[in-house]
Amino acid sequence: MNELLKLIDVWKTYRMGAVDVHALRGIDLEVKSGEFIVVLGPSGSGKTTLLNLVGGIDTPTKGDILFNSINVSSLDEAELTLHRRRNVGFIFQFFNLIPTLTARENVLLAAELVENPRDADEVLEIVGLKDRADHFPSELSGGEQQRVAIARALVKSPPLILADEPTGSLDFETGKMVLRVMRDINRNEGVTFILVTHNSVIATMADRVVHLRDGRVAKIIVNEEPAEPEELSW
Amino acid sequence: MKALNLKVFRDLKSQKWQFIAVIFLVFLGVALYTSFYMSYLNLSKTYDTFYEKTNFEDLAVTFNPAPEELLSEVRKIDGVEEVYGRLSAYGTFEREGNKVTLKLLSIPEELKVNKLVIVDGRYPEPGERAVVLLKKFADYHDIKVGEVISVDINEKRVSLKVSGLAFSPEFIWIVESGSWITTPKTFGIAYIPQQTLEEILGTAGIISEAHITIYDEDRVEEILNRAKDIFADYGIVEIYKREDQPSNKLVKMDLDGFKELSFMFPSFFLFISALMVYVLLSRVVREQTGSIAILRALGYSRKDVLLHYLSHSIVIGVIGSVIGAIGGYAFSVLMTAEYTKLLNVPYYIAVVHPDIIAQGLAIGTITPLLAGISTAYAASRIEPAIAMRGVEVEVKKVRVDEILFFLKRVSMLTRLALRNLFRSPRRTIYSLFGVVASVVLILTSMVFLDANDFAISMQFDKITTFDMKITTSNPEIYRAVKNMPEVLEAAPIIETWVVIERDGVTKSSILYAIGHNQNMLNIYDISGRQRHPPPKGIVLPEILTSKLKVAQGEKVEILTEFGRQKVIIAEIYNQPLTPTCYADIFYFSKKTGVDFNAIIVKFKPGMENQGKNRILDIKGIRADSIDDLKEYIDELMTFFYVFISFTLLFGASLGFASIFNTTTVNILERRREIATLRMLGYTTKEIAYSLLVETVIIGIIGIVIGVPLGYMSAKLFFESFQSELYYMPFIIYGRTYAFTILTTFAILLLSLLPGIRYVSRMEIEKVTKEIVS
Repeated sequence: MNELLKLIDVWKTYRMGAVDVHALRGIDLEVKSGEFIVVLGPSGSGKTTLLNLVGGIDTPTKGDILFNSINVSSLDEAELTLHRRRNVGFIFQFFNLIPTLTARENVLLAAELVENPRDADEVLEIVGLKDRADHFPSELSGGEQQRVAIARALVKSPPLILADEPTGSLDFETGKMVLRVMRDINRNEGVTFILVTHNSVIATMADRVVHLRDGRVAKIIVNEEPAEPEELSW
Repeated sequence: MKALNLKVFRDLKSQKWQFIAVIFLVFLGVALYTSFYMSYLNLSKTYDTFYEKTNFEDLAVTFNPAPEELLSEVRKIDGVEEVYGRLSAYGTFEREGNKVTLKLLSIPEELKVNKLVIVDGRYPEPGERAVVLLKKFADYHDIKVGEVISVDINEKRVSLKVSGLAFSPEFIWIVESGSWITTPKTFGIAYIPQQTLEEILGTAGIISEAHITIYDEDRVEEILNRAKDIFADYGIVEIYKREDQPSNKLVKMDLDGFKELSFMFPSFFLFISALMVYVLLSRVVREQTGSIAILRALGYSRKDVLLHYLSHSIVIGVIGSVIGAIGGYAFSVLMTAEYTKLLNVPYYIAVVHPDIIAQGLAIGTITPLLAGISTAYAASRIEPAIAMRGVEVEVKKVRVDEILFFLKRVSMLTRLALRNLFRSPRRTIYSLFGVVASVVLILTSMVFLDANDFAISMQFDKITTFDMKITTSNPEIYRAVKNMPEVLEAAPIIETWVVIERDGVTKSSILYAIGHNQNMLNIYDISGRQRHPPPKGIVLPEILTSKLKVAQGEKVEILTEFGRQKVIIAEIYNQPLTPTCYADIFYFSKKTGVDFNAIIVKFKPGMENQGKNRILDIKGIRADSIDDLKEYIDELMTFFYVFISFTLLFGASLGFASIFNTTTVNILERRREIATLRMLGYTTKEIAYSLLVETVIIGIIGIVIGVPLGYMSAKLFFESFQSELYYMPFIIYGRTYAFTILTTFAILLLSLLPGIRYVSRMEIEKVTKEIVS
């Protein structure tokens, strides 16, 4: 597998009043194309900060983030927007769908950003929502909304999808269903996933698990035989 | 301070710009109401005290020279308090190369009616070769007390010492019946002792005017008729009651304008401020649903919550009203002072009117309070248990783009903008109200400019194209003027005041009898079509005939300075500007026996100044120059232009405040969505485009509704100003529509900028945390 992403000694420091808070302290990490990575760690360990830096919505204080050999940390605001537009799909804990647009339109909203997007109905079919395409978010269940969010991320054909606590707002069964969809996309489409969670059970379905603690990589565990989402229990 | 009260101020602080915008509108509403109404009261008081102090006339009769003894008969009329009889004459003097006409009015040893307020110098002694000049006229020509001026009166050059400078209640506006306002550059009033004027004119015991005050107002008509009868044998030139006195009539018309404006403008601002309070408070309550639940869980009652959220409205109202009332008082003083500078009044009264201040404070506080009641009540009804779980904001699912098929092809971002319009329809409607109100105010203000430009152009390019008007009935002067080398055209006219009577209803106007073969004084109807005087009968303006209930072809009795005549109403039509009666000069001469009493003159191009000076050299006439009048009108218009600039500014502020508030509230409420768009890869420009589409659509709808509404409002407003004295046709030039539309869009774009700035400065990392957390 080719190397998609490489983080070299990445630091992120926030200034909180008079105090410097180190969210990340020298992260080194390599992600290969097609991998399903779970970043695990307690609250305040730097999981979301890591995701934000990789996604190009924040820049590191120090260090380099190479995406397909391009140094994302040296991009300006306009280039970062293009990076998000072309290379990254986001999935959020609270779905963040536009309430005035239907499921299909939410997907189209992202599709219109790229030159050769995938067909909106096709990606909705992949996430199992073809029949619900004309429904507004308020007419969909939490799981369905999150699947629309996945379709929205997928429609741009990004090589990388970043998911921040994607099951955090879902019940157990729905959460597993969403994870199933993500795993299938990863396997069938070859899309790389970095999933951030504090739920250690989810880690068992990852190809590799990155444990963060106090802004550092505490350990990286390779799952030789990742579990299937249906096998998870929490 | 109690924690809950502290929270009110913190809430206001958290959205300070939005609340400042509402407070600004309340401020403007209260300030405009108090300033205009107090200016109206102050000006009324100024005039009333001036009239009272000077014992201003209740009625007046002007007649052909008659014995002074007749005044004693007037004094005998039951109800008459004082009588002032006087003689008048015209003179000219030269000042810095210009000929200036002086109307000399005789004064007795002691003036008891229309007393002068002498502000410099003294009242002249009987028989003294001295005059009292009107202060502003003297100031204009830099004439000081003690100076001697050489005045040509009836071909005699007389040296007159200026003994004093004064103000007269008769000349707050220097205007005479059947004539235009005059410019101090070429026309002034001088008061001269009766004995002195008699000496100069070579007359004795003769008067031509009687100015009367009465103590029994119920008998004014009867006294007027009896006074008229006393002088009837000598020929009545003019009669009027105080309300028709030319200067007073203009003063009252202006006062009515101030009163009207004190209601019209504030209502706009307060209405929009009420809508904005509703929008803002609704957003505060929606955002604080959780906090409300906590307050209720802690033990705060529904009433506490209700009062807490009403406090927001009260704070807005109180701050806006207090600043507004203070500002209103300051504005009223400024406005009264600046306005009276245009007039001939010795002082102005600008006092605080506690009742108006109290009304302003009450209106300014109650309006936001009423606007906040429903929201505060809704907040008080929130169930703690439900609120704790979080309330899903219902989003209206209106697919306007699917109803309008052609919109199906537009981008998702454009569709998003369209959908957002229907997301909170009430808010969109309130934004629309703001735009509509702004359009109406801008359009109405601009219409006044159009009207002014139209009036000036109509009056001086079409109706009166002559350069000078000479008041004389001397045929020799006419011949001399006609043969002057500088004169291109000269024509005799008859100019007189006219009173038309029908079934006890009387209406007064001006009558011009003009010839067919001249085109210096022209008749136009309301549609701009040129008309000509009918060979027989008179033309009456529709505004008079409708009030007199007379029709074309009917005979009416008219009273002019040449006596009573029965005439046929040959034609009736609306005329622009000053409604005037017209007749053919030959017809009217036959009726009255008067050949002419004025000459209108047009000079050859480039010879205007020489011609003007040559005419002013003629002794014993009054000559008015149109150019000087235009110049003076321009001077008077300064106040008007400042006023229009302010109303335009207010209209623009109204639109800005309204759109700024709804846009920023919309953006704040949708910040999660906007952040999501940015994370998906949309640029600030693309998001700004979406916001722009939304605003532009509101703008277009606002203009589509606002322009016809503005048209109607301006028309109504205009009609309320129409009087027998002045009829302004309702004209809107294309430039006004263009200016209104462009200004509205400029305001909309400007009000969008803070929102776009917020989006561009949105710290994506912070917003992400907010989203993810």
